[in-house]
Amino acid sequence: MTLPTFPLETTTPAQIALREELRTFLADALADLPARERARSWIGFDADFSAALGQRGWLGMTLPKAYGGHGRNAVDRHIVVEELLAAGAPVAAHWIADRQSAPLILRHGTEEQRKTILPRIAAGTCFFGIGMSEANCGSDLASVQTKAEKTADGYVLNGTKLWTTYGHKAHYMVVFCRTSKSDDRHGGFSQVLVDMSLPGITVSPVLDIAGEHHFNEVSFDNVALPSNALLGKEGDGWAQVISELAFERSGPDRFLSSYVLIEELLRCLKRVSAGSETTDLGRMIARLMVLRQMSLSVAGRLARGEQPVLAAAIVKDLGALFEQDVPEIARRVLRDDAADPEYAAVFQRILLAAPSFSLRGGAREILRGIIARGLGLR
Amino acid sequence: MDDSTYSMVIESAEKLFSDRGGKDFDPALWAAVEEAGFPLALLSEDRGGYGLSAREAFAPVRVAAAHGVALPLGETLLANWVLGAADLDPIEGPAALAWDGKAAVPFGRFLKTVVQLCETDAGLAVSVLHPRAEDWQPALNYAGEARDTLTLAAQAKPDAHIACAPVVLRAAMAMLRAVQIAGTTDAVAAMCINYCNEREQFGRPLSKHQAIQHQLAVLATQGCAAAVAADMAVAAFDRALEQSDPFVLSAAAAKVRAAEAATTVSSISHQVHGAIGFSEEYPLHRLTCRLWSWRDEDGSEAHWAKHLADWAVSLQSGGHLWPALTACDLREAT
Ligand SMILES: Cc1cc2nc3c(=O)[nH]c(=O)nc-3n(C[C@H](O)[C@H](O)[C@H](O)COP(=O)(O)OP(=O)(O)OC[C@H]3O[C@@H](n4cnc5c(N)ncnc54)[C@H](O)[C@@H]3O)c2cc1C
Repeated sequence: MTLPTFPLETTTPAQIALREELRTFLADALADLPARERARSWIGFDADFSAALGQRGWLGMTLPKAYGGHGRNAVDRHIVVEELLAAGAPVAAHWIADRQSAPLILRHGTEEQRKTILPRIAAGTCFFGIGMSEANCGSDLASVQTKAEKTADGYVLNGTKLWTTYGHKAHYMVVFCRTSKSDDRHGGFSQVLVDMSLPGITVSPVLDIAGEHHFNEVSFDNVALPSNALLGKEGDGWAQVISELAFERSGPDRFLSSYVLIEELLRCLKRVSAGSETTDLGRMIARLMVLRQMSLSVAGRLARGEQPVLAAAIVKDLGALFEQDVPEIARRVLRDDAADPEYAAVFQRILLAAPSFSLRGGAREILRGIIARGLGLR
Repeated sequence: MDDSTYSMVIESAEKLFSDRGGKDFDPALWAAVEEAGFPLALLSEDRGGYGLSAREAFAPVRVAAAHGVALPLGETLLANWVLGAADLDPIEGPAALAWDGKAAVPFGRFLKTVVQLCETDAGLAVSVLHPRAEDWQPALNYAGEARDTLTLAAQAKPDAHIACAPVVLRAAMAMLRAVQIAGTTDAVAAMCINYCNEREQFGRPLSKHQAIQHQLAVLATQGCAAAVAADMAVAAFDRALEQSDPFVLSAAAAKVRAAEAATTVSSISHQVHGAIGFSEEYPLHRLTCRLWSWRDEDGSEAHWAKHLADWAVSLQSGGHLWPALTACDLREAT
């Protein structure tokens, strides 16, 4: 076959029970959270909620027990994440740490870094920011300007990161920066683990189009980093950041961002005849059913130790299109005059969040470039 | 998952079907297909079959579609499956399911047997018919495949009844089209990639132009979605009689999603091929014309989308779509 394959996953009885446990917990924990708040999901920040998840063993699931994790596989984690997002749980506090920083530290960190940080991530009490983008460096990550220069006892960090999601709440940031000059376009980069309480760090809010504050500008002004702040090998930053992005791109957050709107739409449709718009609704459900299986398949491959970069890019591209179509379908299916205030608030939230779905974690065109490379076209 | 049977089936199907594409039914090829045992794959061994899983049994259908082969293989598989469910003996020769009334029957004039289905108060009536050439009113689909209508005057006498909701069999046919679409989109992807790597314009291969790369990337994502859609329905087919809801929903979603993919894939494939892809001589149209036919046959997107929409809206109040969706997930056999 020419196209990449997506072997289907089969759910075990234990995984069905896991879903049930999550549902029972979430029904109680989110009972008072109105739909308009649940629609925030991945930007909804609630440290207590994250700690409660940690206590129940639903964070750091794939980390080894020796580091406070639970030794479960990527499919179990996928199930937990799906349930959280489908319910519109406020997951932002632990999100980045659990999704990508923990696996990154597990893979590339020193024993000391693993021992001190991973148990706190699994407990839902240690939050991370991603320090990749800068004002003049977006898709072209190799154009990063932030620098860490070697000193007698570590590094000194200078530069400014932008779009740092929840940088203002993060305990640590993994900063992708230049540590040496190199003729190789992808050489001379490293990742450093920056303790956000160090002197010389300024975090300034950047509001999004809805006036929400989640991302930030983070400046580092001669920040003195100890030598154990280096994450992985000096000069290996490019390869590390690419594998970090593979984690960032593979999860259900890449197709469930608008899910709360789907449930709200159906709630309101119970009172409204769908008329000729049923086709739109049915097609949306069909797309969702297939995307779920594709995403589960990627999780299954991660669980088997593979690195399904191409498959993850395909799911993210299809997922972002889907998430962005949901509000457009909703407005065709449900006419405004039939909408109730809660629905309207959810709709607005998703509508205004939608443009970001095909930007964050790699813009659509960049993903399509990755897919084209996977097809042998470049 | 043990893939050895699956790989074996794919391998022998590849051997049989490569370079056998065309728009006419090929009796010699059919004989080879029977020789390989493909039409009986779904039946248990004590019914004279091979007891394969649906995934294994439908694999040759996918390969046949990828090679543009005109055979009622999937149709015969399903006809035999219904006969098995009705406790009737499997048949030799090409066969297809047909609904009572004036519906188009795939490859009608070439069939030895028609397994006719009729909704009655006693359940779904199954009649085994052997129409003559003059019983068919001929017609063709966009790809030139026979889609003939049976014109038998008398109502057939039922040979058996099966306890199976009619929608399950309609869904099975829809699943078959999704499987064929999946096989075809993969072949279209291959054809496009090869062509764009070879054809040069502006001093470099088409495949080096970013606009083309992105078109092919979109084509690939759609092809992958069609494949997963078909796989999902086929996997659920194994328990279609015991757990009909997850199967029917999966097949409905598969047909809708594969049809949507077929639309995008055929459009992009013609665009990147330029004029040559629009010519009779070039084989692309054999694949795209089938995509255009199959996306409408056995229930269009609108038909099956309505099924899904009605289901979603009808879920009990207080209940949500989400648990109903996850209830369709494949489960480990207990
Ligand atoms: C909600 C949100 C949260 C984010 N959180 C973080 C975070 O926590 N940490 C972090 O580091 N970053 C974060 N980002 C930034 C994100 O990673 C970037 O937005 C993304 O990488 C794109 O970069 P850019 O915005 O600079 O756009 P650009 O790279 O300037 O791209 C603009 C447009 O040009 C296209 N383009 C660029 N290059 C090419 C090319 N070669 N060929 C064709 N088209 C091209 C892009 O696809 C895009 O459509 C976040 C972004 C959003 C929206």
